[in-house]
Amino acid sequence: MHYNADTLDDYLHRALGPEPDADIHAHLETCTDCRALYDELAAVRDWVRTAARAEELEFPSIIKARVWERIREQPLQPSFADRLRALWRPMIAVPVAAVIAGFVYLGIPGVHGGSQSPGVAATYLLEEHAALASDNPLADRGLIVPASVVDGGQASGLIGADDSAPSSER
Amino acid sequence: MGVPRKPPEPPTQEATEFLERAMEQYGKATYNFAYRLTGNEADARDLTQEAFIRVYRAWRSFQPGTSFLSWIYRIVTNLHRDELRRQKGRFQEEIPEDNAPQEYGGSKPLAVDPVEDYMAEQLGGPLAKALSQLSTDQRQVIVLADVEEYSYQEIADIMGCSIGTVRSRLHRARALLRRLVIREQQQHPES
Repeated sequence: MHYNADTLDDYLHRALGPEPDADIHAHLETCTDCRALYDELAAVRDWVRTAARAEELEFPSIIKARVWERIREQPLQPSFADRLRALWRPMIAVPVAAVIAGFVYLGIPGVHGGSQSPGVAATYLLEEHAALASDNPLADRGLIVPASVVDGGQASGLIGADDSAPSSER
Repeated sequence: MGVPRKPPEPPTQEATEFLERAMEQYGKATYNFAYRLTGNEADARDLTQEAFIRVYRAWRSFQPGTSFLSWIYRIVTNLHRDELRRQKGRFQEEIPEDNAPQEYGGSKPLAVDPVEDYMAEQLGGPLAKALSQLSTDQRQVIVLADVEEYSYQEIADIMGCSIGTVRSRLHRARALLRRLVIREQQQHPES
């Protein structure tokens, strides 16, 4: 049995539990193939660390200067949560709540005393009809209008609905 | 209505001292970490600068008793990832539609290679060159594990992913790095 590179990598970087760690440790004492792979992985790790130390850079002082410059240009701003909290101060919250309540009251029909009035009043329509009927009484055959509008209360409510129908007065 | 709270405080001497001490103690480590991720000094300077500005603005969210270096590495990692996404998006917008992504030297599409090519030209040492061959996530995980020597759990916390993700990224990255290092050693045996 041999261990694969991933498992040996985890072993090399101490990422395994005590039991598999001990098993691999014992296995590497006897298995030359696994030992060779392990040594190769360790060599890569050492190469990375050595190269990293060799390529280490000093902290440029220009960064510090630029950070302070940016901070002076853009000082600390209150966070969004802070700005939201500030809105809840009574001085602002009470008028805002009153305005919202006003909108809600006006926006819901029925809350403030009945339905909206129609755009044109019924009496206006009746008056208009009466004016038309006086010019041409047959213009609106079949329409029901109050008798008082047409003939001052002498005619029936039905105008021209059925001219041939027997009348009690005939 | 909630209980009135005190308004946000203006910048204090405390914040200033916090940042000053942070740059003094961790400036070099942060800059080197940024350099390993970006592969060139100009980008590393910008990234480090931005990270310390974030530190200043969010200094209250740092929990005393935890590792400052882990905290700032998390900031640098996130900033770097965001910046690369922005850059790659810009490159992809400039590529005409008929230029479909192609395989080039591995699994990377041609559309994002100008960034990698530019970075490879800017790199100095052999490690920087080897790291430039890895993807962003692989580079981050290798630097944290093999250079900074963090545990898998710490890396998962810094990168904001699961240990399983860290482990699989590390395995792929190390396998690739092993090939690159062996090639490098064959080409330059003295190094």
